[in-house]
Amino acid sequence: MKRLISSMLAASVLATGGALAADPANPSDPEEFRQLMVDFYQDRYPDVPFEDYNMSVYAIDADARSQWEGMMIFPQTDEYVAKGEKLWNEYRLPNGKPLSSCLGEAKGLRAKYPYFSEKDGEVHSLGLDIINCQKNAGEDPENVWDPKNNYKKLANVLTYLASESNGMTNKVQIDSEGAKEAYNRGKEAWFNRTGRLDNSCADCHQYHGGQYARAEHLHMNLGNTTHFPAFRYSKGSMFTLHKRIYGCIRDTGTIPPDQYSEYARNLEFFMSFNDNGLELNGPNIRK
Amino acid sequence: MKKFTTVITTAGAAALFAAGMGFSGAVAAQDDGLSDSAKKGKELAFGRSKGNCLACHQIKGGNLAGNIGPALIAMKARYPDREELKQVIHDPREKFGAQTIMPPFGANKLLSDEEIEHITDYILTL
Ligand code: HEC
Ligand code: HEC
Repeated sequence: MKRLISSMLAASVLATGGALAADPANPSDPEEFRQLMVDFYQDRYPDVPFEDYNMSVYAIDADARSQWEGMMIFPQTDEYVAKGEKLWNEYRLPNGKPLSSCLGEAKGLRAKYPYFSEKDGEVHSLGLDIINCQKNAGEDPENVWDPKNNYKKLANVLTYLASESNGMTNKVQIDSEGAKEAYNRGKEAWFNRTGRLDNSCADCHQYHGGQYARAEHLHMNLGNTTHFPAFRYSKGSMFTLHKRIYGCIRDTGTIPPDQYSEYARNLEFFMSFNDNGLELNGPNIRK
Repeated sequence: MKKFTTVITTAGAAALFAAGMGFSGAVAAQDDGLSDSAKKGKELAFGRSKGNCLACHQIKGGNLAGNIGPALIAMKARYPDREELKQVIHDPREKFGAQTIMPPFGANKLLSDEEIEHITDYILTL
């Protein structure tokens, strides 16, 4: 499958700028492609039960897993959930209303994301919808919780919202041509080689998933999204999914597209749809 | 999309193999017998900022090596032709195909020609 998917992508996807030919190794139907991703994982790790995929690398690394399970008993994330909850409850838009007036109630909100909107033809990320609520209500740009100015507030509220959907099932919908195209653009991004290292997400997390880069055990092609935001104990802080994606692209030796750019949202959509059926287990802890 | 791909592949010199790639493998004190050039090559191969070969290859004396690529051992037997080895480091895509994860160190100017000479000298001592 490695060479199949990649040579096919090089030939058809990249060359034609995204128009996918009918090809059994690269179905343009998202559900069929998702199944290929699941099969790929299962072929490499036949003993890993499907429901464990949301543990990322801990699904395939028994030693690291027991350490991690220990940390999840009194998780570091609790303090960030509490901070985020306070912000969610106390913050007011310039019109005096809370964020829920724009986004709906906290319970189950995260589980509705990401989604493709027919109205604007774009993938919506929860983080970006929060930012847009504030901007549309006329919030002072300095106070908007964008990743550049107010990353911690954004991360804390996303952490709280993740906790309010913890235990629900990841169910990303694709039921229109537009959504299908967004998924396929995200797929292109997954296989797109970037930077001076000339590496793609798939290079590290699919073809070489399960191997070691120095002491880093690389996780596989599924379970990328369900557990965010994640407290990284090597960094001592919370990482949103978009910050993580940004970091991985930067590490290939280039200047990445912005967090929540269309490129990054399509990638999120691709990865999240592939994680369908898994339990949402954020916020979580990672090395 | 096309445009973005070009921008992102040619864009600048952000930190390579930044923190994400793990700890540095301490350079062992045992450099005895290495030529000056091979010593420089070893530093580059073990250091995280430039060659970082240890990220993917097990190399004698290197701690916490990755295993994405094959162990580098008996290299003179594998590469009797020094030029061929140099070429693999310069641009592994030529030998292993466009899909290789090993970065094109020379072609993408991660390492200078001189640095590749040093690394080649070192790899041939393994
Ligand atoms: C040069 C290697 C490399 C490339 C290329 C790369 N990553 Fe990573 N990534 C890592 C390493 C190392 C880690 C930390 C170990 C792990 O969880 O796999 C990581 C971690 C992650 C995580 C966190 C997993 C978790 O359990 O929290 C996500 C999500 C991720 N990468 C997504 C991506 C995406 C999306 C791309 C492409 C845009 C990408 N990576 C490209 C090396 C890479
Ligand atoms: C990101 C991973 C990665 C890094 C970093 C890397 N390599 Fe490799 N290397 C590989 C892989 C994988 C292969 C096997 C070829 C393949 O499967 O594409 C390989 C193959 C090789 C080979 C050929 C081995 C053989 O048996 O023919 C040599 C020699 C080599 N690498 C040297 C180096 C040197 C020297 C460096 C550092 C300057 C380096 N590599 C850095 C992944 C890497």
